[in-house]
Amino acid sequence: MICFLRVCSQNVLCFSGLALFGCVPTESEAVEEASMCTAQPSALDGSGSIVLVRGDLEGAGLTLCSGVLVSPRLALTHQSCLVLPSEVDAADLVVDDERPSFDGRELHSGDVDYASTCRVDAGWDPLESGDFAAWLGQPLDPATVTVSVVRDGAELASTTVQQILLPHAASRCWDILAAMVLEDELPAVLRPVRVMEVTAPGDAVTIGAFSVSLTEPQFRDAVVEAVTLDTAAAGTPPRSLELSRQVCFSEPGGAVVSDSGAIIGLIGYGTGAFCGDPEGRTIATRLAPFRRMLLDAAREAGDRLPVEAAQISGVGGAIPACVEP
Amino acid sequence: MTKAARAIISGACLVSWRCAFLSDFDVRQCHSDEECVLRDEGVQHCELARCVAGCASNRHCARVDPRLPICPTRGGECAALTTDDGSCSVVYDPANVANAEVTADAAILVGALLPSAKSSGWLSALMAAEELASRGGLPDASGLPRPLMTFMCEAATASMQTAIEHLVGNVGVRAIVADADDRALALGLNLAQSRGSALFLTPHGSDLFSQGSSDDALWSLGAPGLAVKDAYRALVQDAVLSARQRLAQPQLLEVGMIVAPAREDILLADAVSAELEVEGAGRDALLLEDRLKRVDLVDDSPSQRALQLAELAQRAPDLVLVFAGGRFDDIEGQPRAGVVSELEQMGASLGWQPLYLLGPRSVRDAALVRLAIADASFRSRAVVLSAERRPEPERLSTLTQSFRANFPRAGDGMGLDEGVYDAVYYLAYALAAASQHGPVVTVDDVRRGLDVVTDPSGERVDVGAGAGGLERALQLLADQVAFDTHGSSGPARFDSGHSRADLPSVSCWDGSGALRTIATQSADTSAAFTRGQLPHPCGEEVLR
Repeated sequence: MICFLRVCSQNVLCFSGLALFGCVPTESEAVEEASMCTAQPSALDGSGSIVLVRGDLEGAGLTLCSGVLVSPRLALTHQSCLVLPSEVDAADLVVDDERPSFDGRELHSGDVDYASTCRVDAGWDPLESGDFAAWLGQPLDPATVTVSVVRDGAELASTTVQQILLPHAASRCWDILAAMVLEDELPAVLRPVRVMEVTAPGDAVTIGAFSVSLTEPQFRDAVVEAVTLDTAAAGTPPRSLELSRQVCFSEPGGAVVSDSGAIIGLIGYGTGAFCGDPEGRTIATRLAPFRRMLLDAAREAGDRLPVEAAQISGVGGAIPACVEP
Repeated sequence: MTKAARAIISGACLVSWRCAFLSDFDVRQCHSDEECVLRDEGVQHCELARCVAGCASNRHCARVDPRLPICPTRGGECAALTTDDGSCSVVYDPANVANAEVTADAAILVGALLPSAKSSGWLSALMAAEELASRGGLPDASGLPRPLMTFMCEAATASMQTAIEHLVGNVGVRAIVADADDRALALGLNLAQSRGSALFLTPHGSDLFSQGSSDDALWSLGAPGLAVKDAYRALVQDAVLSARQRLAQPQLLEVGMIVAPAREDILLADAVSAELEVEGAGRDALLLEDRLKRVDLVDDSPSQRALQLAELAQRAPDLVLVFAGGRFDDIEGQPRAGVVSELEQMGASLGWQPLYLLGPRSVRDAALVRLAIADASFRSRAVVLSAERRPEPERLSTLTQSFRANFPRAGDGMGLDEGVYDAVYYLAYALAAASQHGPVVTVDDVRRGLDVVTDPSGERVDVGAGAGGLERALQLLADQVAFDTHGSSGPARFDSGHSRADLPSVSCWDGSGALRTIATQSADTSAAFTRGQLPHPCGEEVLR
């Protein structure tokens, strides 16, 4: 069989020479399949999937982002929430026993000022102006990160993080996905992840993330305006989506969910000048290119990775259905 | 694309993902690398019509797993841009080589071991890298540009193994700007040798050279710290005279010595201590031993260090000799404020102000620069002794302006580190020259490239952009003609030990934080320093 993926243009995938005979799973494919299960999407709203992620910086404050639960012990968020903010150094992490638990502490959300830290019209390279805002800081100790289910302003459940998997990105400008293996299970439905390259411009999506009030996740409709593969396009970095709506503080790390209910991306930040800027867009990192990272994270969590069921009958037959927790 | 079409593609993808064609003997046949991309048996590429282990290009690696987007060489193992522990956290890749259809060995790879990712050194390295990359890279033998990638790691001893494994072992870097303490530098050199080797160029000198190192992998644009040890006697004499003049009544002086827990600081302090004790005993009781308080700062306890400094402060010293580098700020566990800043605060509260003789490693102490900018009294009382080659004023002025224009948000105390800036140029040019004769694999390859671009008989080419700089270098590299790279402190002219020392000089910081040379010693190191008629209003209380 000769079957290969060819990038014909920026956002179009095509196949050449597809023939089917003599197919058996290879050893590593079998390993991958053993790490996956197919999950049926459920409504995002009310599912408990959207979580609040906080990194404790001691006397230097807190990082604060949204996140999304894929399974009870696996959550995804913006990696800016899991590394030292650019304005904080390791030497600033002075233990402060008198610090308040939340209110009154300085908050560092994962917002990225793309216009001043990334060359948005020239390949999305980091743009350094002397404040080091474009670069990623030291990873946080996983034990200092807390993931919480918050509804109506009440924390229903929370746990610390056992392990963090980062994408080894070169800057804050793109590839912002980070995976967290949780210390304890959180109550959540399984949320399938899209690991196939099928998202296209024009697709309807839902953005799920905590609003500025941090009391309740918000769910808003948007449209995919651009999809990139390996290379940047005008206005969109590699491996990303450009969405039709501007997000705000605390929303980085939230989920971009397809109309079929699968997580297809993770919110980076908005391109606009202010929250709700009608001219602004949201940049999101697609999950499909990071299939191996997600599988690694699922294995570390002792879970199978819930994936979107195949969209044509019979193809996904070898991957078992997930067992709901 | 319709949903139906996407569904078909989706299904086809899943089929192809799950299946591999098995011919006899389980050989996976292919016509191109792309046919091996979707197979999940590690990373494979097409070789002689078969899918075999190893990567084909950076893009190949990025498609399989974006966490590992570097293909060091065709058939190699995909590597990450950064490390898990954050010790290597910055990559400058303006041509997006990490996603391109090339392997890393087709690019110019410069490594940088710097004290901190948030330092003057890093900004200076970045400025050089941006300039070098602005024309798409440096030409290969066919005149086509090789793109430039710069990998930055922290130069801490604790993370050196990870950094070298990443730079040299995984990515394939063969030339590294190494602004590290001696202990970290020695460790890095040893580790690099075991992982494929790399040439290290230190921008500010190392006392590994003073120990008779003949390691061909270690080169320096600076001078060993011990190069100034003989000059201390003359400078201390001057300073003691000045200190006596400050006192209302003649009396014995209280002299303090602060020594950081770095190998080169201890070496120099020991050498100077010996000189002073001889001086005190044999001549005019310049320094009595009971009036000399030496404080060897502990490595890992800020609270203990504060106690040590407080003890010294209680003696209200008239003169303090400091052997601590800017890099001392970055030793793990130490607060960011420099020791001199802390001592100054104590002095202010107790009502005394000493004179300071600062060792060569204090030149780039950002805390001291901030103090000098903010405190005119400190500027008049502090001088730095160094044997590094002094920058050419015009070149330095131009580059400093460029630094300020590039990095308008750089904080106080941040400024051009001309040694790091120069080092990036030297190594990038050396790699470009070396790669014209084949892959750059060994230290000797890099060294031969360095010979080509520091040829004293060649045409002068300045570091930096411009017709007499980068533009000319690009042309000469394309023509494969040797040239003589002039850094901000002149041509390389390495000595037989791969180092560059100058006559000791005394400098101080002006109100803008710029370092000004106010006196230079003659070849006779016992001669006194003479302050020239220079307009710089700093250090005047020490060298009157």
